[in-house]
This record gives sequence, structure tokens and C-alpha cells, in this order.
Amino acid sequence: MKTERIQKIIIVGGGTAGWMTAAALSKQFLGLPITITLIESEAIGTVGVGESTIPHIRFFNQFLGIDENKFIAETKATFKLGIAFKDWGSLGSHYIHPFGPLGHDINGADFHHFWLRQKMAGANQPIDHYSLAATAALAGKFQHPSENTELLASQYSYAFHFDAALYAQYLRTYAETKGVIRKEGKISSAQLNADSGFIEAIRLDSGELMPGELFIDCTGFRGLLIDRILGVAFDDWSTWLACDRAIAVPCEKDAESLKPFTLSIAHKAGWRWRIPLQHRTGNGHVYCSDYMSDDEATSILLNNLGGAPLAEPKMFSFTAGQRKQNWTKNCVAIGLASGFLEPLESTSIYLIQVGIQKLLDFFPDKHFAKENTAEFNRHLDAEYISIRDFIIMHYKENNRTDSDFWIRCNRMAVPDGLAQRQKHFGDCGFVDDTQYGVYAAVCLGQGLIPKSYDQKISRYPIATVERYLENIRAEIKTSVEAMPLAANYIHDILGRVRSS
Amino acid sequence: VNRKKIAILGNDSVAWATAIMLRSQWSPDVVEVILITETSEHKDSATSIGKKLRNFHDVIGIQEQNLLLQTSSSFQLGILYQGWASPQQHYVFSSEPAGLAFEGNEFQSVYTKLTQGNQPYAYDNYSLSAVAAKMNRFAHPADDPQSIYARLHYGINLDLTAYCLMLKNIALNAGVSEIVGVVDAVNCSTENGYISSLRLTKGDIIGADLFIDCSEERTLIGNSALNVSFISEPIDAVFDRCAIGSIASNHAQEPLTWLSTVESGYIKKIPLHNRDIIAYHYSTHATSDKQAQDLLHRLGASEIYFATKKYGHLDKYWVKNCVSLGAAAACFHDLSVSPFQLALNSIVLLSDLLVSFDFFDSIGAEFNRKVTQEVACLNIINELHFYLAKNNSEVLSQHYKNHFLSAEAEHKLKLFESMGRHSVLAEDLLTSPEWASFFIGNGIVPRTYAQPLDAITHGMLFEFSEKIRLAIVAAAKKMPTQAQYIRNLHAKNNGQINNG
Repeated sequence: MKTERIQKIIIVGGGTAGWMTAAALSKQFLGLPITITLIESEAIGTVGVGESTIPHIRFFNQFLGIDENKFIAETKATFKLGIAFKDWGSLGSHYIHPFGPLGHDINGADFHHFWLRQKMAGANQPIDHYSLAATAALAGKFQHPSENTELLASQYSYAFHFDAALYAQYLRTYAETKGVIRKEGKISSAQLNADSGFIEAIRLDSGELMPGELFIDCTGFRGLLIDRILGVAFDDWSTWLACDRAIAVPCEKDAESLKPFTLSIAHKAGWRWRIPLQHRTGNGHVYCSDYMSDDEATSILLNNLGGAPLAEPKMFSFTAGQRKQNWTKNCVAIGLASGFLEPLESTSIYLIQVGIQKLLDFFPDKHFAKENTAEFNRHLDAEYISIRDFIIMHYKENNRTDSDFWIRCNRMAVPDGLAQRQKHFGDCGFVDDTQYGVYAAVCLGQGLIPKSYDQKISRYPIATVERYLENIRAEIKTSVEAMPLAANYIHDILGRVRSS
Repeated sequence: VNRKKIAILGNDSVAWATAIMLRSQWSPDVVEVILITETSEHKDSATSIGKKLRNFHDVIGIQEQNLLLQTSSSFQLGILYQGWASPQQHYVFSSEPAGLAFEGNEFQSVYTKLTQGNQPYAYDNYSLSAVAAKMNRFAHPADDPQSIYARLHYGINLDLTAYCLMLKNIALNAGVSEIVGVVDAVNCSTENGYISSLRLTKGDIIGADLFIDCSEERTLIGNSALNVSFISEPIDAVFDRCAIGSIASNHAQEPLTWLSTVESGYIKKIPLHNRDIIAYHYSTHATSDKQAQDLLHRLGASEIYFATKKYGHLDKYWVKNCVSLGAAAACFHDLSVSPFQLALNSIVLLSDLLVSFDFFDSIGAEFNRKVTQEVACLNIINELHFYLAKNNSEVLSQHYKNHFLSAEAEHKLKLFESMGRHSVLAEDLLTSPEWASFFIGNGIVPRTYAQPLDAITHGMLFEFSEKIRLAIVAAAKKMPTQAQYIRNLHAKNNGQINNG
């Protein structure tokens, strides 16, 4: 048995993906005769994806045994309760995709049907007002959810904004403490098995040969192993996700700093993000080069910063899509090497995390059973497609007529599964429980108002529905008023970390 | 308000359960529910079903104590399979996850490592439900998650004959109307092909907005205007006939369902409180009705009747304004997952999706998508049951000389065999622990176990597993017998039906 075990793992590429992978593997296999080596080069910069996360990141940190307060201090993290979308459905529109439910369901009927019924009776309360997470985010409030599940204050989740470079550094220290070997160097070539095509070793530009049994490609967009050496093709999704450029620049903190949400503002050929950290604000502009020049995109970004820029703008080109196989032979791609989806829903680090989690779930032995590899790929494909479709939906469901880009997005044909889901929501507000995110919040926020609510709830008199909705709003208002400001809450945490 | 009408065709538990569900969800002012019963004949039958039945009863307001009082249903903690993969095979399939995880590693993996050393105990020894069932003990699961009795997973051996009458009474009391008659014509709109009315042999015309077909003859959905095909699965046709009888008993036996193979088929025994229902499924190519009858007589059964089943399923389940459920939708062997469970899932889905009477295409498409997925899952489960029994049955062995296992079933099997992993789809009808119970019970022990367990000695794991096994045996011994438990339940309620 033991001779069939993987004993040499080579991770190629550092950055967030590389060090998250190294940290997780070192934790999982601590005490076993497995050598984990990470090869990276100081000369190659990292993209530093995703300073904004979704709540799953907490499970990853918990798996590693990382203390949350210490993590917040080390990575300059702030809390996050959702993503605010401005000008997406139409110019002047605004909604939050919250990390928590809308209202409460009653007897199996989703809350948004009650909201729809009231809306169709003439009311005009934004759906956000029925989300504790959204209301607290807009008020700049935060506290940890209550552990008492009976309370409304337990009905939300949270994530972080953090400095991805500091997070990678933090995880590097963690991984090296647990025995991961860091090797400085660039890859020059690979030695493949003549029969199987498996990677046997990679050669560094120093000439050193690094043999391994399992290779993990964290080399970012380049996909050094998965693409250049093993030739796995890339599935191009730019038909639906036309944005192909991003410019990022940090700036000084502003008055809006430490508000617990990521801000996404739609512009005429893409969108701009704003991510508040403790020490700076991350900003970026994602756009479609067919509809906007780099200069104009840079100008829009720089003219809308909340503070003075702290560095030169950094530009990236990308193509939305995914490897046709994220795992082939004895090589697994994680992070940008496996695929890229713009960070509209803060899923970049989540997709790294899913890749790592699935690698641990389907960790191979030297036989590399093909069913195991296929199952890993199936899980990854399902995740990518689910998020891809969710992001496409933001573009498709817009009513903007102010630019060719948005008109094109509105008119584009979307993948069949998404088209069916959108039709179903548009017809009668149906949401499949397995769909990504708080689906109804985004559909309604984008302006997709169903033709009909669930007629079964007509057994409740309209006055009862109104009272019910009013009670929820009042309950949320009371809960949020009792919450501290997110800025103060973090300040207290940092104080506790310092004193400990 | 234009009051809508739903007409349900059928007189079995599925038909009446559908009527109750829809009656409970829609106000009588808005929707009228009628049920057309073509025959009053109820052949004695039973099935075993798990948590889904309780969930369904929670929705429609049926209390378990009433079910036990009004029917001869009994409790079930697992299914005892005998002689499937080999003549000596004998295991209890349980929904309870076996054992406990060891430092984050699933117990299934611990067990796999133990089998590579000296492991004398079968996998079902680590399930309290299975051990208690074999000792004829029963108790409800404890609410306290720390209690060992919280491990218990139970289902119901459901007396379908009495259950149908119970549902009928509830439905009629709730305002469902019954029309007795035989449909002799289905009238469709010439404009859109929707069913407009049914004509009964006595001349009555029954119009409705929505028609639900629960008839075994597929009277409505089989209408050529709806263009629905019936698909037969080759493996299902192997055991094409069934002889069913009952054996009187004074009290409930072990809380088990029995599934045993015999030379040219298999026998299912469902012990109820006052009788056992026993069904012999056999191949008409290998066994005559006389032989089947003799076999059941030898087992003590009387009142035997025969049924030729047309196994298979429709290619669409919701077409225009007609929905098929239960026997009209699909007919399956009742092995690990009861076809009645599939029918209940479809009833709940129908209720969720029926939000208005506009019949948007998206609603039917979603219903068909989900039911198709569940049907595919049930097919895989049954296929694997038969495939793994092929070396122990001449009839199955002959079948598999000419047929292959489906790709999806083969993938599941090989994934488990090679790495002990599960391919659990979103709509799967079995959980990962249930798949482990199924495969290991059938003698499929994975080739490898989780790598972190390499660091743990066999002795430590054996000690760990022994603690669990002994605690389970001790806990099971303290449980009352099923007969005592049911007597106590009835005594506690003075044998009164609770209408609360």
C-alpha cells in the first residue's frame, strides 16, 4: 500500500494559489513521508487575485487552524457582508448581493414571493431592506453573527477583504513551518514519460532537475505545465463574458473606508471595483477592449478614486474561460492556471479553494485512477459553470441603453441552462436551491421582476403580508442599530491582537 | 376570482397524497381538487421508506402516531440483504453514517485500512441502526446530539393498503371531491393540444385546468396528443413478474426490510405490525407462476396475487397541462430506494413549481429536468444491485453476457473500488454514507484509504473502532423491542388518534 502513495509533490508557482495549496497540503499530510516543494521566482510577479472573498474563505482558514483575529491583523483584513452593485440593472439602480437570506420563508414559499405580492399591490420597498446583511453593510455596521440560531442576528454570514500579497506571505510562513520547501527558480523544461506522457521531472533554468510524482500548476495565466507542457486546451467563454482587460490601482483610504461591502459600479464598457482594506483601498476597472481604449479605462479609474493613488496602475489582459481539464495525467491546475472568471462576485480565491478542497477529496495514489481524475474534473467543471452563469446573468439582465456594450450584453444569447433558469425566474420567481449565491437578490436587483408571484400565497390576506413584511423590516432595523460600526469593531480586534 | 380546477386520476397512495398536498397548499376559494377513482380495488401491498415520508407528513400534517394507529405500519432501521453478491452475503444497509470520523478521516476509510489487516467485523457492526435492527430493538433518535441514540436513522415499513385509505379519509375531510368512474375519452383542445376534459363511461364530462395522471395505465399522459414516450430499461425487464402474498403475524418483527435472492429472482419481505407482505420477483423465462406460488406457500404466504410489471419510465413527466406521478410516471424495482419515495419527491416538486395556472414552459421543463435526474439515479442504484449480484444468479449472469453496465454506474463502482470515493450527484437519492454501506455490504472494499491514516497504526485504529462497536452493542441492548416500543407509544396516547 505505502509504495503506491504519492511521496513527492511539486507545486509550480507561488502567489495566492501556490501558497494556499502548499499550506493545505502541508496541513493535510503533516507527519507523513511526503515532500512538498514549491518552486517560484522572485523575478516573476504575481497577479495577486481577489482581495475580496466570499464566506467560504473562513472554512479554509479554519481547516488550517488559523486564528481569525491574527489573520485580520496580519493581512490588513476588513469584514465583508456582501457586494453592492451600482448602475448595473439600469443607470441609477443600486442593490446588494448579501451574505445572508432575504426575509424568512413561510411554509415552503420563498420570501421574495411575499415581497413580489406586496410590490404588485403597489408597495415600493427595495428588497435589500429585508436583508440584515445588506442593511448592516450599507450602515457600515458589523458584528459576528450570533450563535443562537433562533435569533435574526444569526441569519447572515461574512467574508473578508484582505491584502492578497500579505495573505500569500502569511501562508508561506505557515507552510514552511510545516515542512514545505521553497525553491527559487524558473522552469525551463519538463521531462515526460515516453509511454504515459506523465511528468517525471521539471528542469529549472539553473539546470537542476526536480523529480516529482504529482505536479500542481499554480503558474497563473501562463499555465506552464497544464498548457505549455501538457497542451490542455482552454475553453474560451468570451462570447458571454466579453471583458478582457483590467487595470488595478491602490489608493489611500477614504471616508467610506471599512464599510463592510465590496462596491461594483458599472461603467459604459465594464465595471469598477472598490475594496476597502485597513491600510488602503483596492480599486480596479474591468472592461471590454472592443468598446473602450486602455487610456479611457485608466482615466475612468483614476478619476474616480476615493484617495490619492499609491502606485502606478497595473494592467492585465485576460480571456474568460476554463481549462478543458483541470487535472490531466499527474498534473493539477489550481488558480488562474485552471481558469479565469472576472472577480465580479469575488470568486477568484473561492475557485482556488475549491480546487484545493477537491484535490484533497480526490487525492490520488501513483495509479492515478482515471475515474478519480474524471470525478475531480467533473466537480471543478460544475463549480466553474455555476459561477460563470451567475456572472453572465449580471450582464444579461441589464436594461441600460446608454452604451453599445450594455446593449450587446442584453441581446446576447446565454448558455442554455442559464437561459432556462432566467426564464423560470422571470415567469414566476422560481429559484432552484442549488443555484449559486442569493439568486433572487441579484435577479431582482438587476431589475428582472417576475410576471407572477407564487399564487399559493394568496391564501394569506394582503394585510397579513404587509404586516409580516413590516415586522421583518422593523426587526432588521433594530438589530442593525444595535450593531457597532465595522471600523470600530476591527479597531477593537486589532487592539486585542496587539495586547495579546 | 376564476376558480381553478385540478383533476387527479388514480386511486392509490400517490393519487391521494397528491390531492392532500395540493389541497393543503391552495385556498379552496382559488382551487378545487377532484380525484377520479377508476377502481376501488386495493391489492395488499407495502413499501419501506425513510426520512422523506416524515418530511412529507410534516408538510401535510400527518402525525406518526396516527399513521401507526390507523395502519399496520412498523418502524424500519435498515434493509437486510441476503445472498446478493455471494451466497454468504448478509448485511444491513443503513442510512446512518457508520462509525465516527478519525481525525477528519471518514470512518469508511478507517474501515478500509482495518480490512487490510485483521478486521473480523462486518461494516454494519458500526451502525447503531443496523445492530439494533438485527437485535429487534427500536427507539426514536435522541434529540440530544451528544447522545449515542442521536445516531439512529429510521424509516417506516409502510402498510400501503391501509395508508391509502387513511390518506383518502384525510383528503375527503379536507375538501377533495371524489368522482367514481372510468375514463373512456381524453378530449384535447384543437388549438393548443392541452387536455380540456375527460369523458367517463357513464357519460359525465370532467373539465379541469390541470390534470394529474397517477393511473398505472397512463390513461392521460399516454394520450397520443401529448406525444410522450415510454422508455424500458433492459435490466428492469429481467425480473418481469411478481407474486405477492401476506403472512399473518401478531406483532412487528425486527425493524428491517428483507431482500433475499433466490435462484431466479429475489424476495422482498416487509414486516408490518399484523402481517408480513412478501413479494417474489422472478423471471418468467426461468420460473412459472405455479413455482412462484409454491415458493410463497412454503414461506407461509396466503392470498397470493400476480402482477406483470412494465418497468421503465416516461421521457417527459409534465407536458402541457398534464403531469404524471407514481405508477403513471415510472415503474421500478423496490430495492434500496422505494419508488414511492420518488413519487413523494415529485409531489413536493409539483407543489413547489405549481405557482400559477399559466403553465409557463419553464415550469414543465424544470419538473422534467429534476424528475429525469432522479429517475436516472434510481436506475443506477438498481442497476448496481443487479450487476453486483450477477455472479450469484444465472438469470443475471445471462443478462450481463449481452449487456454492459451503464457508463455512469460503472464510474460510480470503479471510483469506489479504486479510491473509496463517491460520485454523488446533486440529485442523488443516496448519500455518501449510504453508498458506502451499499458497496461495502456488497463486498466492494476500496483498494486504498485516506493517506493521512498512514500515520496511524492499525492497532490504534482497531482500538478506536472497537470502542465504537462496543458502545453500539451496549446502547442497542438498552433499547426496547419494536413490539414493546410500539405498545408503549400506543399506551402513552391511550390508543387515541391525535388530531392536533
